[in-house]
Amino acid sequence: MSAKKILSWLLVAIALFLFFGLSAQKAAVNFDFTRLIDYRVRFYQGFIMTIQISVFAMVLSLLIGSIIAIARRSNWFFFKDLSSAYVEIIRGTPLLVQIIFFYYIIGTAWGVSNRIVAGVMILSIFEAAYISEIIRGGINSIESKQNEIAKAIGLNRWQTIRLIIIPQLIVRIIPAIAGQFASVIKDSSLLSTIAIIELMQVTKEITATNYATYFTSYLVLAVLYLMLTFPISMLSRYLERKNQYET
Amino acid sequence: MKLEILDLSKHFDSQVVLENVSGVYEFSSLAIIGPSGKGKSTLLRILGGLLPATSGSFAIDGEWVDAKSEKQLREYRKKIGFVFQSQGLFPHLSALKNITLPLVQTFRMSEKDANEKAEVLLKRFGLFEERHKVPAQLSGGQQQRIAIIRAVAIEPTLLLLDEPTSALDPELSAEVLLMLKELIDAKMQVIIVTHHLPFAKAACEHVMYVDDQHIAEYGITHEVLQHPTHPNLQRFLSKILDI
Ligand SMILES: Nc1ncnc2c1ncn2[C@@H]1O[C@H](COP(=O)(O)OP(=O)(O)O)[C@@H](O)[C@H]1O
Ligand SMILES: [Mg+2]
Repeated sequence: MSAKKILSWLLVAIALFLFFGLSAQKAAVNFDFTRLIDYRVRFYQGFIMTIQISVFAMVLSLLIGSIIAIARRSNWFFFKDLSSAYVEIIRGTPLLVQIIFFYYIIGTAWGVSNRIVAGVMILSIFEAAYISEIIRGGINSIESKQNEIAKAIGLNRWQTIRLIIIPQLIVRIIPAIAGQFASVIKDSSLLSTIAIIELMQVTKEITATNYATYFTSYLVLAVLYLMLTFPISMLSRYLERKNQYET
Repeated sequence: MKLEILDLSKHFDSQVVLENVSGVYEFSSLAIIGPSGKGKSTLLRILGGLLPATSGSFAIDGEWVDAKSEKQLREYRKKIGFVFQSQGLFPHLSALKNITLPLVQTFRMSEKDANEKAEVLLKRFGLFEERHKVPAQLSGGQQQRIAIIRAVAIEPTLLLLDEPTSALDPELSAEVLLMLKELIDAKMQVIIVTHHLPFAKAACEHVMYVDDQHIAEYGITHEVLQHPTHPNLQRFLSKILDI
């Protein structure tokens, strides 16, 4: 990074710091981090839980998303329409509503009583709808022409998928998928609604019993989320730039 | 080589592109010319085994191609090199990998042999330095020459090219056409769809004019171009020569 760029970022950091510092002062909020020392283990546990839930949800949502994307291209109308309905319903309703419906009605009806399992499943089902659209767009962008070239050089269907479609698909969709993974982490905070003890729920509990830590706790919460999402977002940017030669 | 066509038709939905084409054609290098949208590419893709005809069939050197059998078609395509109008390379693979892919995957050649074979050709056509570049890093002319190398690397009995220079500016066209001329002079059997009449005259011994849903005229290139009989071809030629 050039010196000019570092200086620019430094200025941005100072400006943001001054703005929020001044706002806090005017609103008579002060951040006393020493009050949180007693809660560090609970923060840590919540942090770990958030990471665990997110990682499982990323893997599962990628799996479900791929299946939905394939189903949408299926020749069988039932699968095609089912997956379309899935994508529209999930993308058209708030995650909070889905959590309530899936956990209290569907979860209860089918005996999914483990909150964490239910939470990971709900989050995965939600994110998969977005991921399937990313994958579908990626497949469509690899022109049908490439299928004809593959045919011309004698590749069979499976060789074409393995050697031509998938490598290009991965390169094209990874930046968007990484961005979606950052959303998974943030969206996992809504699972506090069903009392999964992840980062958000920990913060809610601490601030409910010790009101004096309210703003400090949420500030820490924000920083912890950023620590997870920022590297992913940087990675996504980097991959996007790296793959630009593709087009 | 001998190309036999029997009652070949191709319809796209209600649109008739080729209708009951029949004939026997003997040539070693053939240029297909004609107005655009009249079915030149369609004919070439059928001959390349890439597009099934609506009805009818054809034979190369007496071997009839059964378009119904995907298995037989796949075997047939192994004997054909095909070069597309543009963007015929895989964008995620280097020039070298583009060339070796069919050798390794379709012809089960070892990676090492395939590389050696590709490198000989890359050197012969002055593209060796470019071998590790992906298509986006190559000029349009280089891309087409790589595509031609890929098509001839499999040692096809027949090389088919669909307007390989129409997307290129004149200078880049020249380097591609020069390469093709060299291949034709080295006895490669070629069918090329082209708008480039000087090239057809200089490099292709026979010419075929496609119009009115069939092969409207066929013969030795310089004879056909000097004494066209079909009125459309006469008009077509005078139009091109005017430019
Ligand atoms: N896959 C296709 N689906 C429908 N129509 C097609 C298709 N390919 C070609 N055509 C039509 O067939 C006609 C002949 O096309 P083409 O063989 O590409 O002509 P040329 O190569 O002589 O310019 C055109 O009118 C074109 O629109
Ligand atoms: Mg054409």
